[in-house]
Amino acid sequence: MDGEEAPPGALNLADYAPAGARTVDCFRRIRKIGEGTYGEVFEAMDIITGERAALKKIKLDDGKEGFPRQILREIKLLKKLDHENIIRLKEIVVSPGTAHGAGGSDDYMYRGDIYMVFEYMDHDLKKVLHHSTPSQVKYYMEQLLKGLHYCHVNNVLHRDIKGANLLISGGGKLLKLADFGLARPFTRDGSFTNHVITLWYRPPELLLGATNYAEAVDIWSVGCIFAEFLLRKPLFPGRTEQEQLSKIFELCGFPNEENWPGVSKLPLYKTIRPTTPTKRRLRDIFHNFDSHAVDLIDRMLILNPTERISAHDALCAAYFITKM
Amino acid sequence: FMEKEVEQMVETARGEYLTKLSNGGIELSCRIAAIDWICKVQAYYSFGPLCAYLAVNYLDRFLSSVEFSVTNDMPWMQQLLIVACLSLAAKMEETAAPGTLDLQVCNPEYVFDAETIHRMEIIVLTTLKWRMQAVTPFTYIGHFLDKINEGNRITSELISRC
Repeated sequence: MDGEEAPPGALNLADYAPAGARTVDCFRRIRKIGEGTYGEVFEAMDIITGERAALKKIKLDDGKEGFPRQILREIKLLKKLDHENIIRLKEIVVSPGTAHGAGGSDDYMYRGDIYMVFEYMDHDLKKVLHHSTPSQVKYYMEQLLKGLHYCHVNNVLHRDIKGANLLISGGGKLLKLADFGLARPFTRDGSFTNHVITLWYRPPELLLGATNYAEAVDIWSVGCIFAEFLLRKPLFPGRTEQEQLSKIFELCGFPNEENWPGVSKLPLYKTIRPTTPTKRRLRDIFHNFDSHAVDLIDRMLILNPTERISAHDALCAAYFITKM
Repeated sequence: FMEKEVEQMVETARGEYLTKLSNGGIELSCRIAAIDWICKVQAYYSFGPLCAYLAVNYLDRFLSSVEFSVTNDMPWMQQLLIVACLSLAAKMEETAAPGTLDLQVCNPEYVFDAETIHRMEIIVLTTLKWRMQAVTPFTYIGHFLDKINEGNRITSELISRC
């Protein structure tokens, strides 16, 4: 690489006011709601409209990548998705660059922080996962599947369905899918990373190393959540990937070419050994529950992803048609 | 939805920008040089055509929505803007995008550090109001291919005949 170095600091964010962009000063911070690998989330109030919002501060690392690709993709997806059961990205604001006036040698290096502004939701599903009534469960499951169906119709995989990423509002009446940080558009012959989805909700095809997967990965997670609602404890609380697989096989049976054609070609299939018993006995642990609910869970937690029920078919299941 | 599209179109096609371009002013030479360099990098890294198209789309929209009068006294500014546009487009469209330093191949006149590019990316993003998903001719190709082929799977034979 040759060429002249640009003068350092010649480009100053503080001197430049992007047309029409609001700054984070338009919000009054109320409290910190959460923190994760992605950065911090704050509850805030729009000073002008008085509306409550959730501000997600984007963590900018100093890597070579520049503006994080993951965030670019999340913004792109969220702008595309418009559904009542999917969190709405209201706007993106920057913090004014002049906030760092204290001097220091790297003062000119300061870049404004960036915040994604979401609609405010009361709490996440994790909080109510272990104490909801059957009618509430049905209500949540229906909205979860509607939001997910909309994603899948728009060729988007969520890839991280879990309690903490499902937000509740309106006095427990409204559920929305959130955190699309791992989501991505999919194609029929795509090849993706298999290091997605929190372990407890991760489907067997990913644990066996598949890189060509589809909508069914999200349905497995939904099935695990549904089961957790009824049991009031996690269905497959594995601590390692190995243990996760054995917990799944213990209830769903051991996969073979008969019940899952092609499974023996998955990268990690050779590393697993059948444990006893190898027969499917998933329904046995649910013998005290609504049979329509158990039927649906049974069809969501099918080992072979091509046989697993789709979000659309799940919404047509008898469980949602019968009144509580 | 239509409103949004119109807003974006107005921005891009705002009279003055086209007039400036057709008058052969500084923007025209800047744009030609930019497209030339973008195509070179695209070939170097085998980026898809949509990536190059998006980069030029960002460039046009940026130039038409701000008073970019610094082109005369700060020629490095042009190059920085182009690198930022291409870097964003690559991250949007390519499965494996090179780092911002590695992106500056094919003898650019100026080379910038990652930090500077990062900040320029943010300026471009905010100026374009975070609308990075432009409707392009490529959006329709899949749809038309599907129609031509009567909904059957697209074969390589069909593609070679196109």
